[in-house]
Amino acid sequence: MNYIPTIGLEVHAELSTKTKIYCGCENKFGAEVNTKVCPVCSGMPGTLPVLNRKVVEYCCKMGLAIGARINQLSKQDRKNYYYPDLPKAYQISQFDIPLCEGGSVPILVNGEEKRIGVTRIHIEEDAGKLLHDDKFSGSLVDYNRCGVPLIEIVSEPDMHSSEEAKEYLEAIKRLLQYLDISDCRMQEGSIRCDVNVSLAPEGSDALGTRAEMKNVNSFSGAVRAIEYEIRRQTELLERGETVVQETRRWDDMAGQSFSMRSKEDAQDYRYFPEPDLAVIEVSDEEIARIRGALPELPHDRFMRYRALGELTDYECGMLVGNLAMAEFFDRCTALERVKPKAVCNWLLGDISRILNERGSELSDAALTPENLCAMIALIEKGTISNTAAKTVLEVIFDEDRAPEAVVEEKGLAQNNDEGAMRTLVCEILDANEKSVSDYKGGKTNALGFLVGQCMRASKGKGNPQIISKLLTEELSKR
Amino acid sequence: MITKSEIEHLAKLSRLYLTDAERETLAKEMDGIVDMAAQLQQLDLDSVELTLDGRRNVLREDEIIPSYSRDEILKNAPVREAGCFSVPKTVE
Repeated sequence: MNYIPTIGLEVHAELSTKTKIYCGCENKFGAEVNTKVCPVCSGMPGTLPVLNRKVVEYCCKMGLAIGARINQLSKQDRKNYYYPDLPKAYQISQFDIPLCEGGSVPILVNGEEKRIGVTRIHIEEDAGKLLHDDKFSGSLVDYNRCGVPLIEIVSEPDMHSSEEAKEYLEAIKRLLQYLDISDCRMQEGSIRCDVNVSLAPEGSDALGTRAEMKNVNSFSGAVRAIEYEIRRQTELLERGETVVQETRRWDDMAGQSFSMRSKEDAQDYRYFPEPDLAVIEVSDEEIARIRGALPELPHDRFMRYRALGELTDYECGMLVGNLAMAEFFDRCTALERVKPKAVCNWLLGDISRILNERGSELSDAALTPENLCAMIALIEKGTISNTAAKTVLEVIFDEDRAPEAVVEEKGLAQNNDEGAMRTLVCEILDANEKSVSDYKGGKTNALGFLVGQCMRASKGKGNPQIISKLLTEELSKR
Repeated sequence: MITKSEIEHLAKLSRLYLTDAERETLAKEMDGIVDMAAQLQQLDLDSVELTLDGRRNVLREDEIIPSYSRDEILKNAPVREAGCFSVPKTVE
């Protein structure tokens, strides 16, 4: 029997506010342990939390970006559980009235748009970090992360493959980046998710029993966790067994999930209203202000790039996925000097390569859209070859200089003088009789060798198109 | 009626270890507490707006206030180790 998986995701994203959610401690990753802690975030008795205004704004931003409804009155609740990373023994979260409800996130599946429903987005606080190491006598707790603001984005069970889940996660990440509300540093755990998977026989309307996997800390981990869970549940069902509704812990190193809690231990968070915090009210004016300040969203940008008619979906996606690059691309195309496709090729090709080699960002480079377009225009005019352009790029990447000046200084201009080139071509043909006879004998790839020889003889300044043309002409005379 | 097994469940969630006699006493006492709280259900709250203490939007600006020094914070740690609160080994 064929089983269709159904997947729902709960994404927790750390917000990039300057301070924590309920106190003025700095929200900073990587600080020395327990140096960003005060009596409020370490849960000392008698302290009172005060909500950070920006947390409400950031959550509403995300909500409005996905077309969610803002609950203009919402409240916060205590979620109770005992664990050493949670010093109050409860997490302040939102239970029955989250800040945002509804909305959807567009993704592309095989080039077609599909919308993944979002149930709700609420605000909550992060827990501290437990450090386990055999060299310590106990488990160590670092409370720096305690009280870092999170939004939890809960999807509808609208995804049916690990690919769709991956697309959805990427779309969420791009939204967070475009809205500038999260650092999205995956390796630092700024986005984490819980994964729900169930299987139902093909054609069946009812959903199967779901298992929830916690502790999924990367998008690729989420894909592996989903695929593992689909296999595990398929095997159970095929053996005639049933799937138990349970929470499982994903161990990415082992590539396996493990049952965390048996049924009789089912989590019971005993939510109740947080009496220390006032009701959150979001006014019509505030909503209008946030909505008005939303940037162009990644999906809209993707559609705009696709509509240029020159770029592949892959290229559009690569540009959209890197905000700095997308903005640079837009500034280049606004100049209307060269084809968008050429700009895209350089951005995704050599420029990305240099950035990767250096591990730096486009915003750190001295490269300007004007200089890049001027350089591409020089190639299109035939002034420089593609190869010479790479040399120009190395210079204008770090220095704001006109490419024309760089070409001049380095003597990179192409020789487009047909007369001089023809002499050179004839010399090369005279010196390479073997290749000439190979070519005549049908080995057309001998032409490539001859072009290479001419390029070398011209010290790289010959125009390969002209050389190739002249070679063909001269060869036909022999 | 609060049953003894419900008390046991709550005790487990609260990491409390109770004797059988304590469970029995607590079941009775909690019954009384729940009954008292249940009186609230007689109130008609349909026309009451969502509020806890009448105040709304008690918010602060996103401005950094210096944290406590680590030494000060760790004074509250029963055991400290490598700049951290040290707790009995915990495995998920």
